[in-house]
Amino acid sequence: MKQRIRRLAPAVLALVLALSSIVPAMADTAKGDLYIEGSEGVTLTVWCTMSAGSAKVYTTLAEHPFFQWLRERTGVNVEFLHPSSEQMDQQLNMMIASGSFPDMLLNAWYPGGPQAGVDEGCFVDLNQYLDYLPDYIRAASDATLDFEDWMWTDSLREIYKPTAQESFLDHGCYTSKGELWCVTQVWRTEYLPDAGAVIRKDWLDELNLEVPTTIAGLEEVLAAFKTLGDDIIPMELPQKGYDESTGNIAGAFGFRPAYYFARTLDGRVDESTLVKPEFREYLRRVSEWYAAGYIDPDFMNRDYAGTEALLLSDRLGVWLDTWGDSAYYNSLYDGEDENFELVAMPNLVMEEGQQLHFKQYYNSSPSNYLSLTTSCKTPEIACQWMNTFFKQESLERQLFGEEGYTYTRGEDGAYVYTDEFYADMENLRDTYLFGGLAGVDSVLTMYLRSAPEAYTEPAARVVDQLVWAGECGTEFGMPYVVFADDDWGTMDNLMGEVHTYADPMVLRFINGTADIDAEWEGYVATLSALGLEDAQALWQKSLDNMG
Amino acid sequence: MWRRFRLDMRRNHQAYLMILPSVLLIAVFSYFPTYGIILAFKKYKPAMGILGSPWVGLEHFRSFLSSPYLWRLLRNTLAISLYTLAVGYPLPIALALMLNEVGALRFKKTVQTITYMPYFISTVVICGMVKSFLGYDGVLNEIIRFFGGASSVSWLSEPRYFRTIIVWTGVWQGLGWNSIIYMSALAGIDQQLYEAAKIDGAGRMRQIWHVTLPGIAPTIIIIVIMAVGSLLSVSSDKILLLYSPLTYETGDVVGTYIYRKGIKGAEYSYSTAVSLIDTVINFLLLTGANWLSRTLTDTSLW
Repeated sequence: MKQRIRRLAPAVLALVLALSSIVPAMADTAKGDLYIEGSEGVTLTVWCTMSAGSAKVYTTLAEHPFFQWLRERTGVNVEFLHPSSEQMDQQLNMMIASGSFPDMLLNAWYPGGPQAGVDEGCFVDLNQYLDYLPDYIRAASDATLDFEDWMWTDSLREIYKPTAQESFLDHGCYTSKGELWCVTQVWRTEYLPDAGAVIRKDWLDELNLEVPTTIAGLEEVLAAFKTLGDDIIPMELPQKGYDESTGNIAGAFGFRPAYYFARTLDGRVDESTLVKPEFREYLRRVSEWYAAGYIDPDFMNRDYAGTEALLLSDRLGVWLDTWGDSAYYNSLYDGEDENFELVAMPNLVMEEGQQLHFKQYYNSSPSNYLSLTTSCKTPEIACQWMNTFFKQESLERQLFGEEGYTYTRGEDGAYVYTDEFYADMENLRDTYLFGGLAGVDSVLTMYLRSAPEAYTEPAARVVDQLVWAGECGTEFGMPYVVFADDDWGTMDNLMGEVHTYADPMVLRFINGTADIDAEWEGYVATLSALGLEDAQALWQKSLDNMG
Repeated sequence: MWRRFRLDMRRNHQAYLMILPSVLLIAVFSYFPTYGIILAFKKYKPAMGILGSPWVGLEHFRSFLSSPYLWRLLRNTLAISLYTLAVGYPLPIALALMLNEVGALRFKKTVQTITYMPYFISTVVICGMVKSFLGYDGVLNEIIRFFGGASSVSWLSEPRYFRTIIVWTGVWQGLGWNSIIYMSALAGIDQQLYEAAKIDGAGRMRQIWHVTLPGIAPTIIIIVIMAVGSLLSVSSDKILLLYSPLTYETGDVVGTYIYRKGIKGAEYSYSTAVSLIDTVINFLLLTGANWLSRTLTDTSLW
């Protein structure tokens, strides 16, 4: 298939080039639903990175079958500029300095934030073009889920439980002054954590233990793992001593670790993780485990690759903050232990029935955001083009590909991927589907990215993610907060200084060189003197401003 | 004076023509961009350009100098620099001297090649190696336990060893490379001086002390003066890769601190301000060292 695409691509590209140079005469292609009036002779430029899979096969996304299809249907010629992810910031800064931009920018984080992007004349406020973005608005504002009803089967609905996500319902990524600065991907399901804990199931079986669900259970398991050998490291702790993305042990103690701040149950900005009494109890427990040898003595120096190496060389029992999943590592393992088996470990609680609150959620910080720039000479056409990503025909094409080739319709109208697709899924999902720009809910795309299973079972990674999500609530999570002017800089400065003192102290509490009973008061007092409460006040102020 | 200059130019116009490209290069790339120093006093926004960005006076300087960690940062920076100077300058000289005494050409060339190969290994690879060797279950601990030592030490977690690790890995890496310049200086010493010394009854060591060292003394002094001029500019790449919060106490330098403060892209003004402070201090130190050297030894950069 790759060969076919490779051989076809130059031919199709040549065809497209030929077409675009004789545009008026050839504009008699099917003027369907997606056709944009006035698109003859218009060329739009889009600045975006390519997915790795596409980059291997195409030199520009204009060669991607989806975009070729889109070009035919909309009539708009689009040129792509592809920075590498390392070059993005640099190129963006150069564009800003020169004052001229491509027509659209994908995932361009403007220095100073989106407000600066609008104020300094880069982003266009799309509020004036809402008439040209009807499908996007429908997609984002639809609380009934009618909009995407057509793509869900009942079994998938059961697994993913689609629900409208609050933060997308007002369809916008707005600056604090209310300007709509981008069109963004819209999420329709509960957030599934991307990271979590995995544990050696085969060792548990050997020791006749169950996967732990409580802190006490974990302690028992760690003690048991230690008896398995001298080389064994029962548990790996995150490098800082706590992990902000998973929080899967911290949650049991009743808090959500955060570099900045989390919220209380009634929505206010909570005091910093670093001074919470719950954090102190967490540290106390972890330091006891460290002293007992249940934790990697080198955890503060062991980076991600090092931990992975530990896992795959049969030395590690529990890994708390992996971004891989059990299926991935199970397939990666090629050591001697034939019984090697990892499973996901759920979020731990203190006692059964404890309600947890620290899960992430879609907080309207935009993902895959496409902005229109002031350099665009044909903003109406550009907006209509951006809008086509949310039309059903286009979504079908993005998610499922071509009818007959990559998908067919089953009974009851369900979309079913063909065997031919599954046979070459690794390749096709990047080089044939998705195109890669803003779209509606991509749980399905996430699903596709991980497994060739039939449409009725959750993908292997999703199995783990569902374990990591559990029944955890999201109350402690912080919504997307936009800071006024220099407040962010001030706050960030303060937190930088706070952490420079606190991070070493936390590690010392854990490894026992600082006494958690004797020195805690002094530690808290120092943090206060460094301005921790001022930083908290700034967050509260900005959170209040968000309304 | 101007007349003399013109006269000199006319007489030696080829010489002036020869240095013209270098002078132009330095003028365009080093002197001209110094107007950018005003960035340190402004809040630079790329969209407004250098001249258009708003003035903030000494805000950046105040922000940096009022940091509670300022003294620690400067102390660590100076400590690592001086340590490197103290260790990293004599050793290449010693290596050059020793190689100079070696007669067998093949052996000499082999040793030279081997010693300057580490220079070409990237910092990231070196740090990966260091982390692996000095880890809790790394080679060094194995060796110590083999010889009957007590329990393992997590070397990279102890603030007291951190500077030693940073400095000595740097010395090891640069040893061969830095000795090259001394080797070439040694080649320039008049052989007759050696013969004269031998006639006077000097043994090998005395020859080194009375002929070789004075012969390369100017080179050594110049290089040391230049090193003093970059005392406050410790390269933070290696430190960033090897440090952890436990070693902030001895390892946190200006560069790593700024990196951690989450300078999220385009904080040009702040880093310009800090670099300006660094440069001014370095310049004062350089001038001081140069003056000292001129007074004491008649050798100096200017």
